[in-house]
Amino acid sequence: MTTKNDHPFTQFDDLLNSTVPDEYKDLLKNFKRQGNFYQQFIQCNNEQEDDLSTFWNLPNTLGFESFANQWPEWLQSSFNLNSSSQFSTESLAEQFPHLLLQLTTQAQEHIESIQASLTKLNDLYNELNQSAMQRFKDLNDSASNLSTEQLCAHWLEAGESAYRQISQTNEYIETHKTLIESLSALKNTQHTFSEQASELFGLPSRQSIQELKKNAHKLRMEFAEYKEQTDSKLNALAETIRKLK
Amino acid sequence: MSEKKNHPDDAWQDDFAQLIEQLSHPSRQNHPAVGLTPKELIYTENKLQLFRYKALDIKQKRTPILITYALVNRPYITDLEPDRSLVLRLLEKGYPVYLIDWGYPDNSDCFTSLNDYINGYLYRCVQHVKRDAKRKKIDLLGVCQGGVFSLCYTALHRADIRKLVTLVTPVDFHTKDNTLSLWTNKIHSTLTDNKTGNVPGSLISQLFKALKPYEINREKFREIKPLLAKEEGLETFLRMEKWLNDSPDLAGLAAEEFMTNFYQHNRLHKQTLSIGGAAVELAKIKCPVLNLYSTKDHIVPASATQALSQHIKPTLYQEHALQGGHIGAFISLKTQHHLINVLSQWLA
Repeated sequence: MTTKNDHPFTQFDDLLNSTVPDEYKDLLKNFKRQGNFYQQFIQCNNEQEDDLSTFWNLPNTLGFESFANQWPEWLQSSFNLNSSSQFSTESLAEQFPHLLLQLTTQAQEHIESIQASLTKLNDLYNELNQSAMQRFKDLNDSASNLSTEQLCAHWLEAGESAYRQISQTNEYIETHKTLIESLSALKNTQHTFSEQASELFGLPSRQSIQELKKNAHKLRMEFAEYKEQTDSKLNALAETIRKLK
Repeated sequence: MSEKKNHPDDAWQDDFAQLIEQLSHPSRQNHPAVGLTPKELIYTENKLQLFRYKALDIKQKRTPILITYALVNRPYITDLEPDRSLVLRLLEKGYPVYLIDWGYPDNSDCFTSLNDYINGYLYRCVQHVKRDAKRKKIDLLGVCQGGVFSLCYTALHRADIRKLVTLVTPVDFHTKDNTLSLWTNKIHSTLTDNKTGNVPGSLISQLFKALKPYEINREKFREIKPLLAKEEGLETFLRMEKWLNDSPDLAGLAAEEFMTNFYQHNRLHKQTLSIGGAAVELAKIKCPVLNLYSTKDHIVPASATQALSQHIKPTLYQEHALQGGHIGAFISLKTQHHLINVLSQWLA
């Protein structure tokens, strides 16, 4: 890259240390990341590289998260859950011996189910990459003049159409279903442990806190209803008085 | 293939430098404001706020319009900026406009049910609007999930509503082209967060982004030039980004009920829905209904909204197609003009 080309990136680095609002910094990071992505894509395309499939890699797509926020924090902090390939060689259960001391066999089964779903998702994402690349080639072959704009449009069309097909298959839906349900089951197991710990230490149980919250909510709604009835009656009364006058 | 054409580095880097310059300009230290149309808070309850917009100095229509937006995003999208404001367009036509802001639920709200939202919050807002405007009936304009609430409300409280407008509102959740429904209708577990008991807004946001992952996540960051062409372009982009990243958590119980009753069992369309012990029968709606849907809506497909025609008496029902996507239907500069004309003619 030339000195001229470095210029905006130097500016960008300076800006990251400035007082510019954080949301602007995040936006510029996104633009920079996407700019680099498209430039790499165009370059690889121009150099006629055989395998362009990684350019449709969904887990690496900016903003795409495979429900990572729903994962237990201890699992999130240990792994990049958007990149499921790392789960294919080593068992998750083997990586958490300290937790296994506490977790039941049931929890271990949930973790293994999560791992199996991630591996399956990884296969589906690879299939998506290949399908998108094939579609991209077909689109390019049928076009007469390929400008940068057209290449980018073809990249998008190939990606979205391949994704539309795969994301509506039973396999994709069932894999997500299993993943979400395994996570939910794991959360439930954690609940059971925390309830047992609460009982052991004489702390209020989650159940009793939930009951309190439920009753507080009910009271709040009842009060609002009562207030509405009063306002309504006062309003009707004021109207009657106004008419009598 | 021309190599020169396909190497956009220099042009892109120039644009990027300009964008940095614009965003770091001292005049831009504050994010562009949203929801600028003057309004007055007339009722609050818990996190909910009910606003009345300041009338313009023109002849006023008698019946007020209450806008009910979805729980999943913030309602200021209806007043994003002066040129893209459904609220302002209605005020310009002389309608008294009210808006419900549901607020940001926290863990004390996780037991809020659909019954609480429809027969509680929405009911009390409608009563306040009626009293404030001194009218026995009002017009209700529901957007997306807010439209679903408005339909349920009108079916349950017929005496309150003069006319009902549904905008990009799903009725049949099981149409073939409804990807969201396809994804969610087999999930039989809770999506609520352990700490709050609510469904994280970020999860819903991810779900929407996953509908068109390459377009939504990558494509909008590809071209900088159009944003720089006009100052308003960048301002609008920044406002939209703010809105897109501003997703409140969903009250746990209501979210679960919504997913089960609507997405999974399609109860509104199948006429098996019950809210607060009362059957919600759309056929019981006896006021005129205007159904506005978008032709390129990837969140609520047109077919999902058009199913409303099967429930409302033909003499009371009208529908209109709007160009654009789910949000573009009411904020696009092109569509807004058409939308407001259709609306004001029908409401008259």
